[in-house]
Amino acid sequence: MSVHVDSAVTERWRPFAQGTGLVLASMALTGLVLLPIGINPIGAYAQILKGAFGSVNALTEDLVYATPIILTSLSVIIAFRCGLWNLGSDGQLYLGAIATVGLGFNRFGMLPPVLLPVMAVAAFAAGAAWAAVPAVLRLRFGASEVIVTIMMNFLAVTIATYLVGGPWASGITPATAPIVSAGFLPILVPGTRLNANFLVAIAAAALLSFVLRRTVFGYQLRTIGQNIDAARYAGMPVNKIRFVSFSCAGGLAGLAGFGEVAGIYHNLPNGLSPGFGYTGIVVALLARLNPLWAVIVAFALAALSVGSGGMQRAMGIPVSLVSILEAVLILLVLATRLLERRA
Amino acid sequence: MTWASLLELTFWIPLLAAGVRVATPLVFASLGEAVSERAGVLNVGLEGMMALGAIVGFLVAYWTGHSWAGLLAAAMAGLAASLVFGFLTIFRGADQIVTGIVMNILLLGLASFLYASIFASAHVVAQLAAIPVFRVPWLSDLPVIGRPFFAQSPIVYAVYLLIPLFWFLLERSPWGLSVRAAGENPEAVDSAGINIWFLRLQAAAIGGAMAGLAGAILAVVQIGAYVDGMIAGRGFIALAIVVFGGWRPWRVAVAALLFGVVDAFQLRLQVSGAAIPSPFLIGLPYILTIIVVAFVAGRAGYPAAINKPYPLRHFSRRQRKPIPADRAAIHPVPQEHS
Repeated sequence: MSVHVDSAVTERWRPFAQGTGLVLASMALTGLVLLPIGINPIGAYAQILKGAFGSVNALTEDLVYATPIILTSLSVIIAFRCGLWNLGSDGQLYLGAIATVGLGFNRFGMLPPVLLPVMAVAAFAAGAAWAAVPAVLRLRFGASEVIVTIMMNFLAVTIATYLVGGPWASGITPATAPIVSAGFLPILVPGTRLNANFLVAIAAAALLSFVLRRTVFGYQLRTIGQNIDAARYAGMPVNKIRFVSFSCAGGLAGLAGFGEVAGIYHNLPNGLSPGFGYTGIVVALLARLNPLWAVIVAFALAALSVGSGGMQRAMGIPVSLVSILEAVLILLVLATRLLERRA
Repeated sequence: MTWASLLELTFWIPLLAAGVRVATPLVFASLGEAVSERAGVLNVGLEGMMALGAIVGFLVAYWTGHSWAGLLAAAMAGLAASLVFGFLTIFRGADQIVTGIVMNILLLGLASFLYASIFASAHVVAQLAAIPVFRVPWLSDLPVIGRPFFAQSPIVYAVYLLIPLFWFLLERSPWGLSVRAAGENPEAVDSAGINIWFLRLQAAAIGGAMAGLAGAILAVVQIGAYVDGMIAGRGFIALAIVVFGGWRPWRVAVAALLFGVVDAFQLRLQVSGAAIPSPFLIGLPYILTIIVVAFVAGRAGYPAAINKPYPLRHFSRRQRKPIPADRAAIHPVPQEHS
């Protein structure tokens, strides 16, 4: 009996032990690129920890940075759960941001209480519309959504750059003119940049988790992802569900763009997203496509990014060290086949 | 620029020349990828491997002062990256799309990291000397096609040799036959006693080396500098070109030339200050890629065994003995992943 309990306990903790081992191994491997430039990897990692958790302000910055990453990772998850790749959440984020800024100038003279919700809905709709293009091309014409979503990312950035430099230019900074103050999201902790969109992201994760586990739609979505032929045979509206979930994926990424504009910048700057969409993919894979785990993993990777900013300032190490670290970690997961999703 | 000038050769000849130049890295990347995909290995990490080739090629050319050394080093770097990719997808059964995307994140990050940490202190953009144009005697004097095709950087002439070489390798050689079979019916290759895993690794390695070369051509031969984000989606455009070209070297080359001309066309329109908003011009190659992927070639054309790892349990001395063809047909080897 005791043996049985023991094995159950080890079974429960094994993923954590394996995860820790993989993280340490990837840190060691990534450290190899630091040695040739004459930097002690342990010192660099210590700087990252200090930059990420060293002060209250750093902690809130972690949450600020985690907000868009949570939303883009949910975006990747909802599409992947029905067997589709959404590599386009970066572009969908830009579309959401563009819609937010466009309405945020408040040229239609909307009342303050109406403005914010309208901006959020428009950002969701713009992201969803941007995602609907690859969804239709995939479901109707069999076009690879991997290639199409990446191309849509480049197009979205091109449009944003055009708006920033042309029609909406502020004339001073490489950003558009600011939105009206009625369109600012409330700040949660005074004196920091932590805004209400963080709560939106958490709520979205909880909602997605509930939908996937407890609703008919979620059941059908998961079935399509696991065995599309079985789903067809069972008479599920496969194309309709895949279209809706892919559009929602775009909408979630659009909300991330809404938060960046309404909560932080209050305008649309050039280079709004430092690759939030791609970090979202990393988070989704490491969280094994679980929306609630995605929140935790997103926080960890956000802390890593914030910390690496500190490391760059203190030691002059480029922040791209973080993408190397993240990628090496996933490659190790793939190579060892530990932590694999059991369908 | 007026619309009437579109009818004159003085517009089209420089455009074609620029198109050939822009198409050159695309031809390299897509020829290699065609071989890889024919063997059943879809390399979504092409973009990253091009970026790696660009930075390694640039650094080696910068330090040694020899462009050709840079190109060679870039090919080696691309090859090394594709061996990592191949190990994971062919020998560990990892999903090719997941692995490819993660390879992109890794290699784009690595390229950016190398450049930033090596040139962090330098405030000037490091530049390489341009490789001079080599005019092929007699051929470059031909009317119309002379200037676009035979008054180019020497690397362009390598393309003219590579296209028939790849055609022969893929469509006329015994090795090519096995590669094509590996992508369509791996069980048949296995029962013929050919090591399918090593064969696929070879094809993936050719794809990686060509992608590395493509990136280096861009950085070393054409621009003479490395800039973050300089690949700008060309890896994914090359994936679309392979589909557009139907996985056949000649058609792939023609498809790449089409993309090159379209890109050159939008660049000229931008420079000439046409009254078209710039996003529509800059976005033209991306829009063309979407159209090609959506309407020219659906999923039907892909090699049947793409992204289907061949189970490794046969990879042992004991089972080297080929399965009789009739039995293999009745009891197909179950796939680990679907």
